[in-house]
Amino acid sequence: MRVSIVVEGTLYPLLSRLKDAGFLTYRWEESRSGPPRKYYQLTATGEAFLTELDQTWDELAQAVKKTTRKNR
Amino acid sequence: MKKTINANVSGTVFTFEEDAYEQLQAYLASVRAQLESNAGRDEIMADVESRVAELITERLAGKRQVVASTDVDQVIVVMGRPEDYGDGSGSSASSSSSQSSGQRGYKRLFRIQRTNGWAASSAVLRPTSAWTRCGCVFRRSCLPARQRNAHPTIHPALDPGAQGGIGCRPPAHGRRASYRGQSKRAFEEGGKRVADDVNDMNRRWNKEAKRRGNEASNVLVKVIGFGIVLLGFSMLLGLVSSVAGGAFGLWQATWGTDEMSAMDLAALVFPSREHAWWMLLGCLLIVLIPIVGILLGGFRLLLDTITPKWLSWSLALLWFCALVPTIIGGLALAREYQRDGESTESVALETPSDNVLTSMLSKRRRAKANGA
Repeated sequence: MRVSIVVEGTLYPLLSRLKDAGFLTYRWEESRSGPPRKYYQLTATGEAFLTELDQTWDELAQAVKKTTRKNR
Repeated sequence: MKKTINANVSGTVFTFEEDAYEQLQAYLASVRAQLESNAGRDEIMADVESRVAELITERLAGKRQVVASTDVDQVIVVMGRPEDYGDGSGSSASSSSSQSSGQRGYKRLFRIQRTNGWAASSAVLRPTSAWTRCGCVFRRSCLPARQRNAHPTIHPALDPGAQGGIGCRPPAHGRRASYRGQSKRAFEEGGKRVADDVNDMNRRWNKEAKRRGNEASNVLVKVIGFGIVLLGFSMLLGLVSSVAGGAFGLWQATWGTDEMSAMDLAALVFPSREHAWWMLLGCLLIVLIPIVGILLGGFRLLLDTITPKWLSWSLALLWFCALVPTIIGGLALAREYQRDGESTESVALETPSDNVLTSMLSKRRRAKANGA
């Protein structure tokens, strides 16, 4: 089975873009193990976008399922 | 002895070994170069340095004071290589890194394209678009478990860059894309991997179903074995009860009589005592051996015990040995009863000479003669 690995470094540009796009907001919190931490949170726009992604995923998953069944 | 350098990483001062310091500095410089085209580069670099500081603090854990190369290596493993910070803009560096990162199994991410109007909505609906890719990775990485559990993995069809850059480009803008079109494209780009995944999943499901089927059949076999053992014990109990009850009844029937024993009673039915003994023994073995066989079979199903072959053959042989004389004795007994049933005895009836009937008859004959 293939295991997907997302290293932490890939997240920072992504978080920055999503924040710029208005999907995320963040707050600072003090950390005991180092510098203060940023905690990201979904905005209402982000929630709506997530819902849209869910729907798209479901539709695609259905399409893939139907196609692979036909080809089997 | 190594030379050390003090450095401030995101507000925290660390003491680095010289080579570790150079290694980290080169790493951060590479990341910065990788993010050259990114408008939020400074903010991202600040976040990265904060995380690096946090990781180094965790590595030191208050036990060591100096950061070594191995610590920096570990930090790089966690954070990812500089090319993993790429934005998928299609530069040569990104393309080459895509292949190398594909070997490591990393997922590349793509820039969110700022578009307006209907072109933006088509990009959003396009499964291979940067929106979808970023959103999926974002959802897996950042959202609460409640959200992630709905779709716990990013499908390769949605993230083709993960396997060497097939379809790495973001969608063209200004071109309307229907859902049918996007599905087709998704299949073209990731169809083989999708099929492989589905087949793999199918194989795993089949394997799991087979395993569960085997478990269910094992349970069923155990239940059947238990039932057979229960049946065997019941039959054995019934046989023992019958034998014990019969023996006790016969013993009671003949108790206190010196002239007749239980075997004498048996001799009333059978031609001889020996005949009765053999018939009793034969019948007992004919019933007992199959019960033993049922019990052995039940235990085999229930506890996976293996009956030795010699025991099986011995029991079978003993059963036939008991069957043959029992049949012969039974046939002999039947013939005996048949002969008894056909026996006739001729008895000559003698006319009594001085009884009440004859005296009355004589008186009547005499009176009739006198009257005449």
